Amino acid sequence: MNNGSILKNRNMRKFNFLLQVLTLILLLLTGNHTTMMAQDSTAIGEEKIKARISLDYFNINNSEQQLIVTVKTKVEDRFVNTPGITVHLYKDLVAKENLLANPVTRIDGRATFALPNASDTVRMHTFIAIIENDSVVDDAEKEITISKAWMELTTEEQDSVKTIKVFVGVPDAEGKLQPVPGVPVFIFIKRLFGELPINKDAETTDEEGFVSLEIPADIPGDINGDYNIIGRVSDHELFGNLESSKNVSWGIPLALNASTQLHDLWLSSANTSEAILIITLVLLFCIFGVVIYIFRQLVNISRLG
Amino acid sequence: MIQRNKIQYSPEIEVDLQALGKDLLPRRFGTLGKIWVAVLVLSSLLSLILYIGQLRKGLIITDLRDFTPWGIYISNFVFFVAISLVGSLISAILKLSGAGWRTPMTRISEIIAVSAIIFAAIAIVLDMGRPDRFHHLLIYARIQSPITWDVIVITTYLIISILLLYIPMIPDLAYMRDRYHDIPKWQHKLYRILAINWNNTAEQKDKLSHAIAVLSVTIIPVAFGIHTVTSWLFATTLRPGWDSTNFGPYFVSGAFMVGASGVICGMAIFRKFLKMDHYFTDKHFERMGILLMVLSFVYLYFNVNEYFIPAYKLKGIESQHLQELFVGQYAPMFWSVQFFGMIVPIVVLLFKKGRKPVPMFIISVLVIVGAWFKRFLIVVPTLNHPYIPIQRVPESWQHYIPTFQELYITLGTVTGALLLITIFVRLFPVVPIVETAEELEEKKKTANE
Repeated sequence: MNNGSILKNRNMRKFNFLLQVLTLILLLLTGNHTTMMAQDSTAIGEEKIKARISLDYFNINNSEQQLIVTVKTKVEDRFVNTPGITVHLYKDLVAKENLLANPVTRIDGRATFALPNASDTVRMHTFIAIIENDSVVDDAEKEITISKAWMELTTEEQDSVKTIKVFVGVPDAEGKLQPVPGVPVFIFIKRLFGELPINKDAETTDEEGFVSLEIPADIPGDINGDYNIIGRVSDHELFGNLESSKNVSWGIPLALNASTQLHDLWLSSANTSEAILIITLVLLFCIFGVVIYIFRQLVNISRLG
Repeated sequence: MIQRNKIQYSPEIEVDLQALGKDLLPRRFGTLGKIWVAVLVLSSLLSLILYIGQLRKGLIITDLRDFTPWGIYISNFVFFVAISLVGSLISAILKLSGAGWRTPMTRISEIIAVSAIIFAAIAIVLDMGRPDRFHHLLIYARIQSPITWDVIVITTYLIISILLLYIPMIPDLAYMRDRYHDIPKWQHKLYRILAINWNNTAEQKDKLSHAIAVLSVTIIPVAFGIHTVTSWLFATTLRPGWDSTNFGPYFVSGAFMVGASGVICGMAIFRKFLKMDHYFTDKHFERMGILLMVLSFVYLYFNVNEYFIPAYKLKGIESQHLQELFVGQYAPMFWSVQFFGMIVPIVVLLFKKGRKPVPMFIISVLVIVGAWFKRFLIVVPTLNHPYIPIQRVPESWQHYIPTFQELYITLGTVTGALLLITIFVRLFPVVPIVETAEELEEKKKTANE
């Protein structure tokens, strides 16, 4: 997104805002509120919008396979995520019997389809995503060919040296796993708001299909010292996206100072600080004491009359 | 029903009361007044219809998203809380400082305060995605949460403001009960009930003045509390632009400024349309002008303090926020607010000619409009710069442009508040009748001595 288009977009928004204010004033003056109800309806031109479609395959822990479709459309010279578009997903062939699903893109322009874990002897499949006959966007198509791979993350600990091993392989005709060398693997540790990369550059699998990496000992974990290690292959031309993760107790346990944390302002009402509770109640009693006194005075005034 | 004798005032006060009654007793609206009421009612009803639409469809009809969950509903809430502080300024602070000239303005200031605080509470409900869970604020209240403090302090301030509006009005209610004829029965009954057997006895007067004095003192800390706590809703949140220890006094000073402007507007409008030149004289405008100028200077000082120090340091994300305000997308609004809402009023009010009713009215409108946009600038731009970036959301969520429905529902709160003030003016005297008569008599006595 370049600065020019941001500026243009902002100017458009400012213009729309001014337009809304002017409409509001006009409506107030004329009392005509029928036009207002139509303000949300966007004028859709005859010409369809150009769409761009991308299709990604994910295999997580060798058990969860997903296809994620992302639809973007061209608005004011740039592509934006587009919700509400129906995408037809096919396996191997564009035919009615090969239709997997018709997911609709969400607000982030993505639609997800979980592939069933059926026993499948065919190891390589072509997935096709198609947009056709949509009332808003042009027809578009994307195709990917994926070979189902196996990825496994194991851990080792020797003399306080903590190592992880990631294996990448593909099953042969007999179902036996054959190692795949030269696959780039990234290792991460899951944090609260993101992932901490352990290797800056991807390690590639050796002849035996393995990547080994030593994990630093000074990484904080949760209160038990646990954290989640993730091994990931991203956008591989044959295998798509592979991910394998494992919980380990290698972290430094998080120390919570219970005596102060219990009374922090953001904790539950049961853990309210006594000082705050007392101050608030005293203030409330003082103020409402005055209010009660005033009401008593009013009753007295009434009686005196 | 017990037949009550009319209250007997001293012959001198009786003469003054007759003259004052002619001027100040509420009158039926003329054509212009009826049009005004019709516009307010229609506009408020339309807002209500739109709000019902929001209840049915949810907040999706607004532009409130993950980045900006507090939009103009909350900035409007802060604006109403600010303007409500005028009640304590005129009825309490000026009273305790012995400013006798404030008598004609007390009731206007109190009715503005009550209307504003009622609609401040409504503005909060508008922002709620599930208003049917409003009672959860009480059931699941966490006493350490500034939102709970705000709920408590708003309720308290509303109760005290209603009392401070009502109690000084009791002698007038009794006067209307006894001397105001040719009105519908319900209206007479209303005055009778509200007058709570007032007979103007020395004992009653003593208790009344004591109650008013106690309330005047009590409302000051509560008024400071309401706007300080409102400022803490922001200041206790770790956000660029809100992370300030100065927010309490900054909000309170701004509130006094806009509140004073609200009273000046009311004075100018009543002077013009209810022919109250004798009660809201040039002298009153002159004094309110000086007061507004002083308050503007104080607020300017806090503004300089609030922006200069962060701008000097330009630390981290704070610099992005300030750049958006100073030279970015909010710059036209920011500089207009600073110039028209603060600099222009100060400059105009420095001159005696600027403290005449017409320029004062224009200046006050500028201050009020500026104050509304100022609250928008406090609330919205900050929300666009969270310390932890919100991920995987559409680009449009990073900007906030209120939708038509939001704008109109917000406008409905303003017309609703004005409608409440108008209903009050139709039913009750905007200038205290008995208090003014007694003060006139007092002045005459002092002059004779």
